[in-house]
Amino acid sequence: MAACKFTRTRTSLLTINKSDLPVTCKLKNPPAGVTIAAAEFFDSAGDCTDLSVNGQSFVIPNTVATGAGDLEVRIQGGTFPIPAIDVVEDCDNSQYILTIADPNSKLGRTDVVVQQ
Amino acid sequence: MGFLLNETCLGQTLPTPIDYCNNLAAEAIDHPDPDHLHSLLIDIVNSPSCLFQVSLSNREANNAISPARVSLWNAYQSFSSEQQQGSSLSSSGSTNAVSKPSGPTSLVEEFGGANVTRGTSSSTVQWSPGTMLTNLALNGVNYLCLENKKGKDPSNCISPRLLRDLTPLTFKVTANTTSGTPSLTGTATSTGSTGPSQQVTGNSKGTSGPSFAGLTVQYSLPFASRNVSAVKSLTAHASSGSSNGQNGSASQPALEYYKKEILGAHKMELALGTCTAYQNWKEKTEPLFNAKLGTITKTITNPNDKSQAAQAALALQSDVENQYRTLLNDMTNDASCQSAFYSAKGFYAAILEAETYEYFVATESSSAKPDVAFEYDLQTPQDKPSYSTVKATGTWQFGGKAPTQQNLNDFANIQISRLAKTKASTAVSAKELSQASKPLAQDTTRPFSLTLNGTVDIYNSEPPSSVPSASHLRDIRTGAEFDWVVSPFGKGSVFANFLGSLTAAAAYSYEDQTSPALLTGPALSDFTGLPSSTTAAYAKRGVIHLGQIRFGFGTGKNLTYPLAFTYSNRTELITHPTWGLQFGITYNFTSMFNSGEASNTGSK
Repeated sequence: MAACKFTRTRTSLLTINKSDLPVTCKLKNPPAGVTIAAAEFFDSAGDCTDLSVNGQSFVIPNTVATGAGDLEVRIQGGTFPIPAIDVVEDCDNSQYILTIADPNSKLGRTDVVVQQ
Repeated sequence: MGFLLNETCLGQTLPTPIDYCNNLAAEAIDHPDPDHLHSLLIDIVNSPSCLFQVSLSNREANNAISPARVSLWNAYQSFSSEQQQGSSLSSSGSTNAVSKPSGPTSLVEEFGGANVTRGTSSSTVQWSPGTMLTNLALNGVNYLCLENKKGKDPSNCISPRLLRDLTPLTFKVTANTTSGTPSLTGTATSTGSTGPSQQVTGNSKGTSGPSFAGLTVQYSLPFASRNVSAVKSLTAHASSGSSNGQNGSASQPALEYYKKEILGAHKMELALGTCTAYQNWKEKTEPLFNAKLGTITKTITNPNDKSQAAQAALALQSDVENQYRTLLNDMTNDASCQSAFYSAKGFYAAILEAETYEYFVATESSSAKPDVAFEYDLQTPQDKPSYSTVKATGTWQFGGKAPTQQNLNDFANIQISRLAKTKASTAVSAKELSQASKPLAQDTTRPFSLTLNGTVDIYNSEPPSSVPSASHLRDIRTGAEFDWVVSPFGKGSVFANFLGSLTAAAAYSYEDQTSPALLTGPALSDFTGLPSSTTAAYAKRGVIHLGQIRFGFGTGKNLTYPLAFTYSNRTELITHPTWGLQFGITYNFTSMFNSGEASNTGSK
């Protein structure tokens, strides 16, 4: 397993070096039938990048702009109400990214900083 | 106004409702680290359901975020060729020769009476709740009342199951409004007879006086009703997860709506960034939550003891609800948070519009499925014996095409632009949402429909035995109508904006009079040659063929104007051919159910 690329400079502020992109994130222990429906990254200019989704993982590409960003993940499937599902980086210690806990929106977001 | 209607009303055991804030607190206790706490409790974009649940106790806040919904559904209905314009056939002033199984919530005033077989020309006013129950279902079942699973609804929900069962039930109240001239003139067929029942020959149609014309109660078969399908789809949120595509990504149309949800969440996050009350609340509350969570988790001495975890969740839930309540109060008093409220409303609306869309696609893809309805009418015509009508109606919609990807993209873009634009007011414009829904509805509603009627009329009392061939069975009727919704003025033109689309219809009705039509009461004085002993007059029986051409102007608008030309080989009382011109005005009240303010389900 690769080393983690994300770090947390302070609570809840995820940081990653642009040179470390692309990075793969995944659902941690998802219930049966739960997959990622869509994932998007909004940069500080408001530009949106559709992230490549493959079942229970997605990739943040190296084309996203540096600066503050908003990572949004929407899941689908499973039985209601879904339990809280963590999104983690696909690395050896499973760096925590965000939690999807709302059974109606099935959506989670977090602030991300992409450093030059 | 709020609704409080659930299984307790039906004498059943009340299931434990789902408590989103308790679930949220339990998740936080399961993951008592600062990162999870921030994601779960502080970043409120991640906990919309708990926030909404708390808002139920703050009317102002709830009104600010409770989303408008059903805009697409109502727009779709307004263009649907299976929706009846004008009153039902049972009213004597109706412009319709054939009845349809559904119609809008409307007030109708009509002049002329396509039902020329009944021998009167009159004006009719009809109040038809139509799809009101469906709209109440869709509006009253709030953002949190989506699941339709026993034990999974939060408190203060209208039961989606109950609403689903009630939705196919509609009723109409009709009154004749013409003022006081004779209903029919004519002469006695034979002279010298002094019996109580006399055969007459009608000469001309007259007008009916003001009277209560009747009450119609209609129930559509649940398996076939689009209204039921709508409620079922819109209250069964879990079904939204069924549209899996390859590799786990959503199917393309569903993806558009998931992206709308994501964009809604993003817009809400952006707007919260300029909401001073939220920023202050975050700074103050995050350390409080961390401290509280630390204290509470220490009370769990045995991780395997579920009761300890439940107690801890309750303790944290109380804090979460109190803090969210404080936040909402602060935000409602902070002008800098108006756009945050507006964005939250757009976020909730995006989730619900995705549900509406799924219904839309589902119904549009099942063209062979008819709407089937049964109807009972209590008819109380002036100067005639009252009778009951039992009617079966079936409508098939066909033609057109399913929404294309371009349609969906256009729709999504328009909706998003309208939802996301910052406004000074926190009120979402339901009119804007509704307007944004119409292009997709107009483009993709199936333009053709075929409606079949089978009707039996039965006298409510035994006709006089002195009337030849008289029996309880008054008549048997069948009818068919073909409708075509067309937009002759294109889109966006002045004419199109004013007149809307056009429904062109051709109808035929066949009626076999098994009993002679009867006249009683004061109307008898309008016939010459009748002896004073006459208590009932009757006309010669026959088969009645009726044809109609009708144009429904204003299809898709709130005001519609049906104009009809009707020809019949005879009427019930006049044995020579007759024709009529009918005109109506229908005001569709469905638009008022698009209001976001109506989607509050009440307070806790």
